[in-house]
Amino acid sequence: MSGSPDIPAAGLKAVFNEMRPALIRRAQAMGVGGDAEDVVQDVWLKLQTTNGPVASPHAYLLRMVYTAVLDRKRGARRAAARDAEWATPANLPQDSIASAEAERRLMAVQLLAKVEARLSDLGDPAAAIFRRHRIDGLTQRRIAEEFGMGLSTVEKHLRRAYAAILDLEGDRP
Amino acid sequence: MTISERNVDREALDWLVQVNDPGFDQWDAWDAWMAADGRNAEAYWRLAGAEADAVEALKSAPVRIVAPRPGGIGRLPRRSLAAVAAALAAVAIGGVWFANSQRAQPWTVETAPGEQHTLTLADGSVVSLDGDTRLAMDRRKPRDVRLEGGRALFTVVHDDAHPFVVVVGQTTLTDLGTVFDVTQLQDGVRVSVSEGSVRVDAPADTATLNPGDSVIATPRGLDRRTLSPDDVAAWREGRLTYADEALGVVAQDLARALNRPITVSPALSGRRFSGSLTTRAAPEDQRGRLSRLLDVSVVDEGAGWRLEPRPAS
Repeated sequence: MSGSPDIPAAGLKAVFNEMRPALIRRAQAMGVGGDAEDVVQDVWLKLQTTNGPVASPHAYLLRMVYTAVLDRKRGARRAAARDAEWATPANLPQDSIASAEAERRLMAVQLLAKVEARLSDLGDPAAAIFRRHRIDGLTQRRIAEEFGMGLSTVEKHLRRAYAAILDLEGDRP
Repeated sequence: MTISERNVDREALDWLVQVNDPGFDQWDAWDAWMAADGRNAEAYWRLAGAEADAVEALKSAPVRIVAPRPGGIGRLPRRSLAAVAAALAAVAIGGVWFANSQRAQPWTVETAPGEQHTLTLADGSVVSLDGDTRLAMDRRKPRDVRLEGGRALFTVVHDDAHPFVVVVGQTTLTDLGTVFDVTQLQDGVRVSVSEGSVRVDAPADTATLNPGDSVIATPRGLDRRTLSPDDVAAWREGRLTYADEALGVVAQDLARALNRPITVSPALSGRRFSGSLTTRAAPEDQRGRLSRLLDVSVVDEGAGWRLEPRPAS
């Protein structure tokens, strides 16, 4: 059914209503437990600001649920790390909100420097392909055309880039 | 134990690479793998979260500074942090970093998509970088630069004894006292001159451009057009002006200015455009405006837009 017409935003909401129970089951399967309804509610709120036709509403909504679940897990991980850090009274200054913000910014800058260094270490084309894919949002198929290489080669380079960024040993050449 | 953990990470990585593709549709198979073993889901979300954090950090970078590539992989992260700081200082205060350094090293300045940045070189020449642009330089030769992608406007301090040279792919541009714009396109290099003149040496042909001259150097030759000298630098203020330009070229400029991929339907490959486009309109209005001005349908494909012929109705 790849020739199905684009569905406008209003149609997307109709598809959402139809798929709602299935989306909640998906969110549950992704391991958010009792928060599944909240996750799907978040997706509904985001849909309110989605405009323009969507080529494949089914895949689009699944992607939105996935992203919402991932965001939740990232938030929980950050909160846990922060709590562990702050459990000791010595780390609790008076102006804790301001220093939390400064701390967050410092960590972001450090993470950025680390990721840039790893990509630069990795070199092109893997680093360039990773940026095209994850920053610019091009599909692997489009990148294969742009770089004039096969899809499996693009995937191989991406795999190396992910391994470098995530510092997974054994995936180094 | 260690070996089996590594295998779980490896499988999780394989899935993550696939799931992150905007075209991914194997959600059932992914679900099945996640449910097969408790460690699978743990490894997957751990890696996916770390990767998303890294991507978010990369997206937040206003200017991408790529550190010089020294030897010694083990020392790289620490050195790079220092290099990033040094390069940032160089961007902020011009040539000071050049003067203080002993050993010559290549360095690169790179802007994030959608972010413009202006850079003053050691000789006083000024380069305005458009988004998603990469410029490679060598501190030993501050008047030799290489545009490795994107678009940049050069305002060059002229020096008869030391010409300013810009290399783009196989094309070499030599300033003869000048303000000029260079854009790397899919099919070649576009050079447009606002003031002074530039010599273009491309594999297929050579030309000297004067104010208002613009060429696209392709493997087949130099494709010439003219424009008002005042329009050469107007992209910095969000205005793109064309006279009988191929829609494919307009789409590439728009994609850069609007920071989203824009493709052109093959049915529009012969279409030309004359006129002026504003790229700073409110995002919600932009699609409608482009549709009217270019007389095309602008289809939202999620990750990008696609220009298609308007329905006949």
